[in-house]
Amino acid sequence: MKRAVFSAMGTSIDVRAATDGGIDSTRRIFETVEEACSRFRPESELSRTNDDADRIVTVSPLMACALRAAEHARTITGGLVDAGLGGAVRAWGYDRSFESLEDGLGCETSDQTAAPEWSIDGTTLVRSPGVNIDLGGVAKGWTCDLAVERGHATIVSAGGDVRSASNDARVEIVDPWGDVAALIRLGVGALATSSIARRRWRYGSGEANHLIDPRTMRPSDGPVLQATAITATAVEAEAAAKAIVLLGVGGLAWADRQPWIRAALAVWRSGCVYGTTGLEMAA
Amino acid sequence: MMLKRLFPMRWAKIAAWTGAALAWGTTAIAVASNANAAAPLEETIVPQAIEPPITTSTTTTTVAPVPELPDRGLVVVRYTPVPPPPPQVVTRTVVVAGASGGGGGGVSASAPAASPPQPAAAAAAPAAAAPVQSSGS
Repeated sequence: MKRAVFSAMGTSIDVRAATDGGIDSTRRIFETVEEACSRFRPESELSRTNDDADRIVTVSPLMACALRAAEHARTITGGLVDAGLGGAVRAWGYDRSFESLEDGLGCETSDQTAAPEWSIDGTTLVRSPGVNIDLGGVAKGWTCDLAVERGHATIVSAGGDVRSASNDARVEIVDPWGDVAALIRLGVGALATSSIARRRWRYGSGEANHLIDPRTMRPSDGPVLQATAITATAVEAEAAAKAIVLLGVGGLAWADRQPWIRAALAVWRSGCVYGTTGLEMAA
Repeated sequence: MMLKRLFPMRWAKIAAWTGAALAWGTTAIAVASNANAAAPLEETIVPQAIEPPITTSTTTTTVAPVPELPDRGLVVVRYTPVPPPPPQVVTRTVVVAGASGGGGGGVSASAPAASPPQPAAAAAAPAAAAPVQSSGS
């Protein structure tokens, strides 16, 4: 088994593959998707699409696939995880890559006050005026899925999103304090962790994070600091983890009712860690 | 004369009967008073609900919310009675890669300021068996 670690999409990518060729292919997939889907690159297709004032835009097949993954995430979470909230994320200050983000950016209000309306049909993107697409989390998970489903990698981890084709895959869940909260036996499947303890910044009178609640159009500030979900694909795991954080007290109960979520785990602000009974702890 | 024969010691008898009447009346009033006084005593024996004392100040306790119980049960993976300090706000000046771990052969999956790209050969195979880390993004 070969292993490589490299940077892409503003995070660290950990790849396990059978061959060096598989690792190189995985790296190229990440580079290709980032070139198209990064909202921090002015020349990316996503940036050009967001800058386009037309309501109907034709996108590339790759962008269309990424948007369909985002549409799937929105559907399975009942609209909680919506890539169309890019405008609100930008308004709250996350308008540049996190490496260059500084405190003091953002404002307490967003122009985006209603749920964004957008859809993808084939390669045609239809959106209401002002909708700004943010594929950040979805793109990471989707790229992990691509690398494993195409047979290039056995395990790929990107910014907390893990996709595995190995029965032996184990994942350490690191809590916001740097401790290992749990060692989980993942096996074949996907796992993602979403946290509002990271990627935070200060603005005028408070603190913001990257996870916008579409019900309030404000950054999430519930009792759950971090959530992990285990599903079949990394796109679904990423969506589930975010939804659990957003739902707060009822997040784990919601996850337990979703047949597409194998198990979930949540780290409370108090430091307590709770999970659903589907969790398989590794020894 | 005739009256004196019929009622000898008349004034003495009048005084005696008057005294007896007064004594009887006093006794009767005293008995009646005692009976009236006994009634409230019986009432106090009957159990009565005791209202809690009304206080002017209230004490509120902040309880950390607990998760809503899932249908198939909840697993307490870790319980820390004493809340740990809140994590630091992550900014550009905070080395997130170090804060999120990376030890044990694993790699922090959430480090926005990650190390530059490395050639595949640089990541040695012996670490490939180490568990992957997931710490949120």
